[in-house]
Amino acid sequence: MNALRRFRAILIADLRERSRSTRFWVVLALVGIVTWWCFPPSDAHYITVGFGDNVRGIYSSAWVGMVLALMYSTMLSLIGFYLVRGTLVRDFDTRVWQLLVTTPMTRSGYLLAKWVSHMAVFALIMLVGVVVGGIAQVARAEDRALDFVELVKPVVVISLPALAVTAFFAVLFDLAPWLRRTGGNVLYFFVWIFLLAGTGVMFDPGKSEWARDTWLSDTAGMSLAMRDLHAVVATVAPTLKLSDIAIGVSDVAGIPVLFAWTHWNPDVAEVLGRLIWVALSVLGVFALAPTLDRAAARVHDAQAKAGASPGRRLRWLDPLLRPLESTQIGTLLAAEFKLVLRQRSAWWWLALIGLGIAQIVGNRQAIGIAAIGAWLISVDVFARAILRERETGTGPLVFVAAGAVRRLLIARIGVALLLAIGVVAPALLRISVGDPSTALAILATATGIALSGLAIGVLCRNPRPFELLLVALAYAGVQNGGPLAVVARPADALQLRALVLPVMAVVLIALWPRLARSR
Amino acid sequence: MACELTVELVHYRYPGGHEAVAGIDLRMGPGILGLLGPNGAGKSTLMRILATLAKPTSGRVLWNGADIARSPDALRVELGYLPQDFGVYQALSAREFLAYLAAVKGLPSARAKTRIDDCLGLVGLADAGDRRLGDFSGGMRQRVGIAQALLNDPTLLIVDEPTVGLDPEERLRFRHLLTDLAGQRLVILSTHIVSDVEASATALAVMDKGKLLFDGAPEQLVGQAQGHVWEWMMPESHVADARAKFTISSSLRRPDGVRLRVVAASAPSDEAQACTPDLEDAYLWLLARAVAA
Repeated sequence: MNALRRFRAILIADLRERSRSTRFWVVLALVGIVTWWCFPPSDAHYITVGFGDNVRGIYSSAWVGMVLALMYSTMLSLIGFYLVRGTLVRDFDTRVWQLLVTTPMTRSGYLLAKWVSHMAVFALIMLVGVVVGGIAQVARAEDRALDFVELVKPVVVISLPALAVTAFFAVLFDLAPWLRRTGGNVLYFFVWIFLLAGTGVMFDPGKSEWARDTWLSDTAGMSLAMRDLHAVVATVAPTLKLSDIAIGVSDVAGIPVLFAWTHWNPDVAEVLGRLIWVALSVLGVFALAPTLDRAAARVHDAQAKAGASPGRRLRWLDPLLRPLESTQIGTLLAAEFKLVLRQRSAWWWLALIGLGIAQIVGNRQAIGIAAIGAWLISVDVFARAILRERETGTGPLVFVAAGAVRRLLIARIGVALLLAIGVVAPALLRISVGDPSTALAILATATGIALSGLAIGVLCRNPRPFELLLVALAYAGVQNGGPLAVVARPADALQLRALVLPVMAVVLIALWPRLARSR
Repeated sequence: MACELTVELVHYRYPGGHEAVAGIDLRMGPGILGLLGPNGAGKSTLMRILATLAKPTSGRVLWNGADIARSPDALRVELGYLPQDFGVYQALSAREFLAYLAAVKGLPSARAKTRIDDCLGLVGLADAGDRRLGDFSGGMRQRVGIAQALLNDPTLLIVDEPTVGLDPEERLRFRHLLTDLAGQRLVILSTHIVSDVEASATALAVMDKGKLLFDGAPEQLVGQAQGHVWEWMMPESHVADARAKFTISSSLRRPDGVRLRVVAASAPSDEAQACTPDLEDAYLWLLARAVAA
């Protein structure tokens, strides 16, 4: 009974702490807006979930529920990780853990309460989505029969287990000291890709007979949806394959082809198959319990990642930066460089050297990938530099100085820019010899990354949105897509930067003083 | 060098609705103002307003006649501020950190170097200046905080709970430092440790629940407590009962019992004897009257 009371107390305190921030309610409002956008009218030029380019279900309760379920099990399982993670780290950083650790609370009970708290946040998000989805169904009026059970069923059966896995990773990544901050935020993106693509391929019903007949399904539950929808889709688009399911924005050429799908009846075994992911997540959380005390004791390691620990002395930096220290702004720049570089790990320096060599000796494609890699390993600097006073508690010392806001902004922009350019300097020098326009595009992209990191940090007052953005763009970039494919498509990169740079500069200049005042 | 700080009917209400500062009126000139009050009295919020970190919900603060909410830089160039809680950059040495803050404050580089050495010397860190802050103890970091507040040789020095974490020797050194600094400048020392104020303050303000309870010379406050402080010797078994009934400013265990110092409107017992109040007694007497009112 006492264990249950403790569990309840931890859970409620955690939820209160989350729900009493403005950010929490802003996120819920955004979920409502994005959910509405997921159900465009039939004459819109896009669909969000469908088959091929233009096949989607009529907005029945079952289809609306399935759209929500697939969006949540794929997109929310990525973004949701960044939304919910950090509650354990908060307990460690605020030293609340030191108060909890001396109580009779069980470690497994504590971790389970955190996992349930993550799930409660996801449930609230899904509830908002279901309500907005129901309203969208009525408003679009393609099928007016609102069936609450059909609306909720896919969300519960498909999304909830997918998000249970996400909640597990949010707990795991808060425990491992080196995954608590930027490192974990970057790595989770690849975990998500692996889960989505890896288990997706394994359970793809179009790939094997076993996958068609099994009661098991991938983490996102797409195979389950495909198995059921395939027969219906075949009636309107017989040439489409099972794997042609598209989640995310697809441009529609012409009028969308609609099919009617009003009921979804997964069998008991399939539901049990989904529950396996929930069970594995809970078991995983219990398995982590013995590591909790050790993980909490390693706050110092995590602080190193946050920039709050001494790091390395790097004596060679002193003579290098000394010439800068003869002026005020130079002194600031030198101190900022020391702060940034002293806290780099040995791995960062090794990776930078490796990527530098690739930029010097590699072919054009390798140069592009190495440049993206060099920016990616420095993502924490771009995402967190502007938030340093918030993270280190130095705001009250710094912002009582006349002109501090302006001087610090100049120094932060300077350091971010020099770092973004510096890590790709070999590529820049090499390419500028024969291809100045591509070199210009690299320079513009480096500037864009530096300014975007600072601006998005100021805007969101959190490093995670930019970390997620850069890692997603890097993933697209190494496949020659998106704005970071600067060596493959320099002209596109230049055009995009011309649009983005002024916006980011305005956001940064307009919002930085407010952020400084808010401390 | 002009040095006049005027607080005019300042209110500060947090977004949640709690009024931390409720209509403070105060005029301050050169010297050391000790700002006393129990925890939660609103001292730190008032300090933040005076240090331009927060704007009053209503009312205004004037520094030499200029409203600091409208032109904060006029005050900031002459301000040294030691907040109650602050962080440091652990990757930097004390000297590098002070050089960084000197640059942020806009000190010319040549002058900054001299000031950094002077300030490190003033707080007893001359030999530790090149050690990194990550290796410093809590007390040493607090001294770095004091040093940074002195960097620009401020005309207005605001120190919020400055002696927290300092050992007795360092606390004494800090008190002497404050006394030396106060000349033509204004030092505002916010604390709940009465002995810190008693040692150095030339003027005193006492806050409770966001309101100003007293503003004047320490002797005036002590004068108000005259005839309301009593020494009372009693067996140890009676102490708990006395504590429940009266405000006790101190107790001293003796071989023949416990000697209590009681703050009360009249003698708590026929055995109690009137004694000369000190600042701690006077402060408690003021708070007791405020509660009674």
